[in-house]
Amino acid sequence: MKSITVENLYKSFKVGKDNVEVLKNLTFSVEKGSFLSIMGPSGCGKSTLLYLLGGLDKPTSGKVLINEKDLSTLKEKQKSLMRRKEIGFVFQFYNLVPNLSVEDNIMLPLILDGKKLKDYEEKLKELLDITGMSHKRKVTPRELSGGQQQRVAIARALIFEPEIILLDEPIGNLDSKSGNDIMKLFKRINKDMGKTLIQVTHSHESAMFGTSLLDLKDGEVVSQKEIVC
Amino acid sequence: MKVFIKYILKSMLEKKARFFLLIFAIAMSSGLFIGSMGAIDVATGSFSKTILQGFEEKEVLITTMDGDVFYNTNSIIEKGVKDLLPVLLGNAVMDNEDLTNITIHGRETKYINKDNIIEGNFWDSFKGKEAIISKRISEELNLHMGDSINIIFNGKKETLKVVGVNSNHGLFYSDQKGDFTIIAPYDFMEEMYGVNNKYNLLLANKTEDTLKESIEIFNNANKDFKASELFDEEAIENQIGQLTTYFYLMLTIVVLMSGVIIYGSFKLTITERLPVIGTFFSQGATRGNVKAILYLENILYGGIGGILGVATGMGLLYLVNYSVSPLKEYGIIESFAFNIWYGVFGLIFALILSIISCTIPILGSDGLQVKDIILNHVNTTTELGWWRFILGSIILIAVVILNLLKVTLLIELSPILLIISLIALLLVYPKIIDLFTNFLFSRLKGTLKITGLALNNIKTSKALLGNITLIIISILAIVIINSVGFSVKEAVTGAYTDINFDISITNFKGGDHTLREMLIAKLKEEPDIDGMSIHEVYVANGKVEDNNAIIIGVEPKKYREYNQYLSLKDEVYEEVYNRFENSSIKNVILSESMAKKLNVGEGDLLNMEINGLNKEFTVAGLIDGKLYYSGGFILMDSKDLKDDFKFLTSNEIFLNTTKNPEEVKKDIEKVVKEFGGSISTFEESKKINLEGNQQFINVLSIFSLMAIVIGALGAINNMLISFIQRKKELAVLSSIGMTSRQRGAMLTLESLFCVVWSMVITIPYCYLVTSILSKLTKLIGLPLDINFNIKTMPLFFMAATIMILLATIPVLLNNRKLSIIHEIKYE
Ligand SMILES: Nc1ncnc2c1ncn2[C@@H]1O[C@H](COP(=O)(O)OP(=O)(O)OP(=O)(O)O)[C@@H](O)[C@H]1O
Ligand SMILES: [Mg+2]
Repeated sequence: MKSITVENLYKSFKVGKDNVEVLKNLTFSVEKGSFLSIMGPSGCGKSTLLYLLGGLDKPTSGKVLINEKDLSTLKEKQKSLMRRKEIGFVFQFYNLVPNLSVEDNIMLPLILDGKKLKDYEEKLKELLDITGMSHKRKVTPRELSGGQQQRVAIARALIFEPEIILLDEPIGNLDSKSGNDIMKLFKRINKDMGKTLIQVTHSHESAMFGTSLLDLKDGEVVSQKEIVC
Repeated sequence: MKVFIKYILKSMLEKKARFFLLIFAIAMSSGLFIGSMGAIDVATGSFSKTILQGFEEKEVLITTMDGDVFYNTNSIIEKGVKDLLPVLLGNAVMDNEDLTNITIHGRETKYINKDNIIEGNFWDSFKGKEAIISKRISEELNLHMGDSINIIFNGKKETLKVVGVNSNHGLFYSDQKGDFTIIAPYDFMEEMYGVNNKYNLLLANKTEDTLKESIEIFNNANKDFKASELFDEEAIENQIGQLTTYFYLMLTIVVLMSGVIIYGSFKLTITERLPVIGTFFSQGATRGNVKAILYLENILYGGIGGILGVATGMGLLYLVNYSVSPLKEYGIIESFAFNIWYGVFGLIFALILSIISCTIPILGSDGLQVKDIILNHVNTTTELGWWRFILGSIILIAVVILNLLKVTLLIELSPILLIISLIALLLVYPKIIDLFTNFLFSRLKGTLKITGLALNNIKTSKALLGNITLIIISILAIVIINSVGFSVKEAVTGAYTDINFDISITNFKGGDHTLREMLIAKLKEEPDIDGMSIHEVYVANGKVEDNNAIIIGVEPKKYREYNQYLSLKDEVYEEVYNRFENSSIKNVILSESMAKKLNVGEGDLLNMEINGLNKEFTVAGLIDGKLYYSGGFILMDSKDLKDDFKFLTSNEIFLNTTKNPEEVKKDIEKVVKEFGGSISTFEESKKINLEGNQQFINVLSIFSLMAIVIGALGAINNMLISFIQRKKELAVLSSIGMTSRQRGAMLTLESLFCVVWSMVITIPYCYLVTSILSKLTKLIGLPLDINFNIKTMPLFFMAATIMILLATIPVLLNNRKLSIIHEIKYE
């Protein structure tokens, strides 16, 4: 089964009078349970692609299917619900709500969904442990470093155990030790839980934690290949 | 420098809505400031002008020393005064259904001003049954040259022929359809009164620079005559002065609100400018440079707002002037000179207000690290510290305790107590919200969902807290006006139930007490009137040791029965009143607040000056004046007033009837009007009094309306601010699955919680405010027992909710346009 299918995807931006084509005729798919790393030079359209996959933006033409549902046929509300439960997101820059504590930030999807928070106590503790944020659970994001903020965002992306997790340079701000730990965590989530992960990264090392690699250049797929380890 | 100014001008105009709001808030505040300063001037000016015009610019009133009504002017020594104007004045009514009041000036032709005659050539032949009327009356009553006016004068019917029409200047200035003046030939009036070569009104102009000097010179030169000020400007100023206290109170409220708005807007401005400021810093600008730019920008706001404020102030004064112009019905609005200093002060006020309001956010930017600014790492959420809460609590508790004490000093301090307690409240409440929210949110966030998030957002958004402040102040303004209005009404109604009369007769014009005595004699003959109950009350403006004082002349035998509001029959006053009524020495009763003002007590001697005459009186005792004449007055036997001070014009005649007062009124109305009085029943005069007070409340309501308008605009602004500041946050929420409807719901709930919080905070505080207000009313000489009427709160709650929901609309419209990636992508 395919988690994500992308067909003839185009995305262009209007800059003044010009039309800038950022993504050109992308076609690829991601199997359920695989871990795809997207690589490419800065400005080649990686983040843009991720936003399209998450339904945060609309393609100029072409299709994106998530769990075999065509995003263009979904209403905004359905897309919101999908983002809440089926997709976890970790952005490159800004991820946290500043007036909520670390644990409240992690539990936000649950709060939005009206879930009983008690039922997730265990899960929360586990995620705090894994991300190494247990000692900071009561503080607000402004007291955290950039890397710590990123880890909280990762924990949040995992709280609902979504089928698909989209990561935009998740460890870009971390030192190699904690970055490595997090990558191992992703790998475990991918392997043990069978979740589909898609990460954007500049580091070849991180890319090697995945199961396949998508090379982008100037908005076009250069290659998509399996990684065998 | 040029670059800086260019940058400032550009950035000011960038956010047009905010620019206008800031300018509006500043303009309103300084406009109100000017309005408060100028209102007394304008109102007294307008009043005085009408009166002075009516007296044809005469300033001095001359009366006889011994109180004769009719006198000849031969023995007057014209020193200190000039341009004598002797008149034989009379009151008549028109022989028609309405019994229209007519004041007749009997004059020789040399005393008639030729310049204002529009029609008629009577100059050499003005004699007998003829009349000059004004243009306005000629039009209103359709009376033309040669027409007849049927009048009843001194009980006799007469017909006068119109021989002249005068413009509505001078004497005719205040003519109205139901009450106007005519000039009749002197010989006609002479005949009507049966006098010879005598007058009953004598006016003059001063010769010296000041009125006082002129009067002194005249009084020193004349033994048989006495000059006095025709018209006491000070007394009118005193009366209007009460109103200005409320003006200033409202001004304080509006200024506080403007401060909140300017503060909020500027805080946002600085936040938004941070990237640019950062660039300035990274290019080597110093903090001083940056602050100079920010201050300069604010001074520009203050300047523009101030100039508009001057215009607003002028408009406001025009409005005040219009509403007090007695002849506005006829399109005659008194002109008034705008005091240029008010403009200057208004402008300075605007500048100070805007500089002070922006100082906090600008100083706040001191706390930011230059590095953070350059890298644009500045948080918009706040942690609420304890020190404000503790400081505010201490002040609030202190005010509450002080307020419980019965120290008179507190009355004088009451305006300050009011303002500091409000500031203290504003310091305290954020922490209360914080504590409560933390308690609730930590326990119920799962159940509360969006509601919980909304609650939590309020405590961390300065803009939303600012909204609560605005709502608190708006509601407070309304509660204050409402409570004062309610208490005034209660007090008036209450006072009236204790005053015992069925019919009152007022409005005697001129000084002719013989007419009044004739009227009283006639009234005594009426079968349906309790003859024993007829009595007169005199009201004189006098001076006691250089203090202005209202002296009420009463008939001691009857007054106690009539004025039960003062509880003079109470046992505590038994002795005092006995002394007042029966003692052979001349004495007076003082109200407590008057005694305080004069600093005298029972048994003390008072040197009283009324009508330019002096006499010593003993204080028989003190009574609680309640609200009667604003609580400050002196009761005197009207016989003393007449004999010792030659004060002969009574203010009002009161009487009781043995039949339905309405019917009695109908029976005697004609007689009363013929004698120049107007008559009203108890119910009518109560209504008139209530209406008069209502007008006062209406004027104040303009201010509370202004507070609401400013509050609403400020609320829209703050809501947009809080939205703009949190766009990224909202985008994050959406990226993890908050639907746009949930987002809208959260924003709306935030607004609603603002109202709820404001209510919760305001209600207990209102009890304190009204209690302090009661003291304040004592300070301004209108002692009222002001109570907080909590039953009105649901209504205000609804009004505030509607207002805030309307203010949320712009935010919700913006919310629909929110682009998630746009917000998340770049920092
Ligand atoms: N709203 C927009 N308007 C115009 N151009 C845009 C817009 N968003 C993105 N772009 C352009 O699209 C291109 C791709 O941007 P994107 O953020 O996807 O790059 P990226 O591959 O994620 O780069 P990086 O590795 O630096 O994060 C860039 O050239 C960018 O300038
Ligand atoms: Mg990117």
